[in-house]
Amino acid sequence: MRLLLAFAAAAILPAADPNCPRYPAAARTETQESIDLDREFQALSKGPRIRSAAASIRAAEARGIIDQLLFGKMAADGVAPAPRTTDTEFLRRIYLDLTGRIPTPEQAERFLNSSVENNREALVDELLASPAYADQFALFFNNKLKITRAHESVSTPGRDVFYAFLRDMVASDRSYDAWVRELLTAAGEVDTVPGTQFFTRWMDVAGPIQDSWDDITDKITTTFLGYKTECVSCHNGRAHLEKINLHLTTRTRREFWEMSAFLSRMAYVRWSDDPIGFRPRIILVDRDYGTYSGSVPPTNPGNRPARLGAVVTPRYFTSDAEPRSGEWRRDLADMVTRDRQFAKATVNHFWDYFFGHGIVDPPDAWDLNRVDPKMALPPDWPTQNSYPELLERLADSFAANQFRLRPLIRQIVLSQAYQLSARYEGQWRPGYVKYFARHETRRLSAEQLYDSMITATQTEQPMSLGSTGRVVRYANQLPDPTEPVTDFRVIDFLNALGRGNWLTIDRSSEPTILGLLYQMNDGQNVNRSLGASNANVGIRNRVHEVDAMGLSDEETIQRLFLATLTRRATDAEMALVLERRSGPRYQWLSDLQWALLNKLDFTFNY
Amino acid sequence: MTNSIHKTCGGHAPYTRRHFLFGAASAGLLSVHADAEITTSRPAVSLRKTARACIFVNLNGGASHLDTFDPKDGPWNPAGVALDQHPGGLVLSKLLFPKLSTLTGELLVLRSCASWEAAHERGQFYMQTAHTQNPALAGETPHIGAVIGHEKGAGNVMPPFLSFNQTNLQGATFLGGSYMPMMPVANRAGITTLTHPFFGAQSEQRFEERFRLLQDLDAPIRANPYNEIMGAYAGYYARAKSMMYNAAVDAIFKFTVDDENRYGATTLGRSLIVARNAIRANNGTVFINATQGGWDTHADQFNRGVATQNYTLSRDLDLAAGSLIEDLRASGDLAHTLVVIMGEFGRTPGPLNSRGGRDHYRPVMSVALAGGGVRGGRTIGITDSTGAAITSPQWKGDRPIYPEDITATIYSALGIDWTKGINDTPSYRRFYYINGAVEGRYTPVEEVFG
Repeated sequence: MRLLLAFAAAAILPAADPNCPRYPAAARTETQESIDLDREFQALSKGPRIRSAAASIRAAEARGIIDQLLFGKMAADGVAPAPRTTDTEFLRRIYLDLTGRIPTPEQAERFLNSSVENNREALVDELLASPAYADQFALFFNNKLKITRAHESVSTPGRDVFYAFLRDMVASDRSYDAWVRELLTAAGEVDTVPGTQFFTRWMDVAGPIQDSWDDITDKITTTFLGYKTECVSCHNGRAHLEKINLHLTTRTRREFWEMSAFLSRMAYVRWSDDPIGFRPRIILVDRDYGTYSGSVPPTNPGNRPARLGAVVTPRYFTSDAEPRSGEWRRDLADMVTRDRQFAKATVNHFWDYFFGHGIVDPPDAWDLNRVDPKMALPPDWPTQNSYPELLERLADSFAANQFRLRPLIRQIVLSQAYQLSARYEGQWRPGYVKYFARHETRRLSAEQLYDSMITATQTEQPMSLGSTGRVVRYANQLPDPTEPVTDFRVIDFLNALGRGNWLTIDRSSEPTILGLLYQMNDGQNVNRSLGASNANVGIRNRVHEVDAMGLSDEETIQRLFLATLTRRATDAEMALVLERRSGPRYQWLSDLQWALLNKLDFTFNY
Repeated sequence: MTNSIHKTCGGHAPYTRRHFLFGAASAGLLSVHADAEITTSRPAVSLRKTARACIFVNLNGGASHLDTFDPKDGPWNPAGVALDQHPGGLVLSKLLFPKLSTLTGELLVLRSCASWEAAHERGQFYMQTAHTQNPALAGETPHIGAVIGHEKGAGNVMPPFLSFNQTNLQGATFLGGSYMPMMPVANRAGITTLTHPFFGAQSEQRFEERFRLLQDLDAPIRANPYNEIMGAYAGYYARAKSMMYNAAVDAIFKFTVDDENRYGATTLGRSLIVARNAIRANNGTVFINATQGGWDTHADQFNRGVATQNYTLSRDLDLAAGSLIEDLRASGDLAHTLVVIMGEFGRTPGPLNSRGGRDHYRPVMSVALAGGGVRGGRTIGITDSTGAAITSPQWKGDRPIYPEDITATIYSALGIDWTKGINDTPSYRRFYYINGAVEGRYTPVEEVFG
């Protein structure tokens, strides 16, 4: 009987699958693990406890809103915070977070020997003004937007135009809401107008236009508003999302169409007299007529279930607001950037970058019914928002600073909460991660690992990019993962360490046997640590340099530790290294350099 | 609205699917029955245990059954298709599969298979895990290869699970790192990072000394890692090192120009050479996935002007799989190596579509098996004259053969109890190897075995 029903179903269903065709992406919106962590945090917030003395002291000393609220709650809930970072811990962390690489030994010494009061604040300001900051945060945004020429609808000139725009916005600290509006309303030729590449990267190339509008709408809500709408682009939330997202369970596919309808006057005009490659050239235009209709060509129904009964005009997903003019994309851009959720989601994205965990987590999967402390929760669902008041206050100051990113970043990294050590004293519980009671240790990204390796060993080399011949030195300057197309050895390294390709392969920092074999044995990597200058690298590397400085063995070893691990060797480490010396100095120095580059405290950001 | 969807026990796939298809009301009617079945005791299972390892050739994109293992006479065939009738009911195109046509004695084709899915990612997920794609549970749904590794153990020098050319692979999830697939790129030079060849004859010793220094310097932080992520990473150094300077391991990944010419200088060809080597070496690998992309032939199936079409796909598969079967047979390994050739769904039957291709088709697909206890030279299942419907399933289940049944067959061949479940998951939900197996809803296709 059961099987007969299944067969009957098989006969009724159309050939196109009515189920969600984009599962892997949708699945990552909310996993059981994330909900369980929320649950544990909620239990910790409610259980009987003894005030934490350590946190109370911090709360009393707190000077900014981040510290007041974080330490206040830790104190009240009996969660002890980790100790403050030492200067060397902070130095390494802030360089990695703001510039994507460790400091040179000269930069390290300048900070560590500085007698300036508030030297941490001075260092932060110096790094925020550096070109490396702009590189690192252009990459931060591009990791979300993923504008890569590996996608068939993004040309190399288009990618370069987009990258230049992104970097310029970050370097000039232009108001984030202003350039997001510029991006969302960009029109014209995709090879030359910055922002238009967003609409071709995320379009559905082969499908009907509605699939493109729907895909891009989901990308907009995820990136700029913090919540995925992919699921309801195919079906109502009811009877599908009850275990995944309370808010979306109450939403309908029609409501999604109404949000997608803001894009329904946008069109792609293609022509293909491109003499250079096979890519069609595209112009993005906006009509002043038309609306969202579900009618698709019968020969190309696309990836989603039939849009029965869909003729809709735009309504904003969370406010029901209708367009003010006939220029719907412009109205959408205005509504998105004026949405309070825009400020909160953005602040939360940055919090996640610096802390390794969002105030609302995952930062691209908000459940809007679980983040408002005034909204009642069903008995078996925990809150998703660990610090609602903090989120509001951070969003307030972000807006008060005209949505500029430098003040936001400054506010975060100058807090004592950000400057807690990764070392936790006492019994750690998984739910403490939501208190931000210690700094979260994470592996360096592929780019950070490469950039730190070449900085430690002083083996930076020029890399040419694509067809432009533009030259960069650091992996965080590469405009997309197809680069540096002129040096496969760097590409191999970055891919082996999990860079991903912004298209079919996700970024990952999971350990793999092949990745470790690469790190330990790849010729390029090993060459960096060799004791003699070599043709591959073309300049004297760090081992060669320190060996030639004519210092004692102890001083030389300390120099290598400082250059690679951004700290001095402990007594035990020094004794060990001295004991293992054998053969000529450049030889055991290169062994030490190799070992330091493979150490866990080189490989991780802590 | 019933409470059916809130149950947390396993054994869910069939009725969750029905709920999904028909809405809450039907699920409510069916849920009572389902509940009772979940509490029945497990049937006694008898395992075939005829195979030591499985090579899984993944025809990514969904290969057309009509243009591979279940061809029919019809005007849609390309000119010169040369459909030969082989003993046991097998029909193969000599044009498209010349090599496999000489090996039909080893091949068993299941023609009465069907898929649950018609979308690539969902279909691939199903085929890789034998479970439906459920966002809430995906984090706890491991790849079949990881389950097999978990059952067979990971004590040997080669990782139990190798995978070639697959990007959307479910990993080991909660089963843990030892069962994650190792995903090398197959090429003649092998894996160049298996040695540390920078110091001439002293290289191996020099590496040992460096590695010892590294471990000793890292000892305090490994004893007391800052968090679990760092702790997990630490465990991989020794595993990576254990593969180094091991002639047997090195030999698995290397091959000759002759081999490459026989198997085809293609990704699939090279992957299957390494698969063969790993099988012969018999030092830990028990599941090998080799993916051949490009089977999503919506257009231009027989247009030789296009880079990837059925002529090239079939040729590459024929050369690679045919050579693999030949070589395994020659070395005596075929008898205990189960080869499975399968896509995520079939393709539309009868005439080609308006673009000269075929589109996704759930109700019918073909799966080819060889070795590992399978009695070749036969077919199971008959479809109608256009490949649109199964007219005779020809097995005890008397219904289409689904990915769950194929997986049960693989497990049984490898001596693994397909009705098992694991309680120790992060969510505390019981993970069943195959949902519905305990109740007997899915079983191995016993008819494939000798």
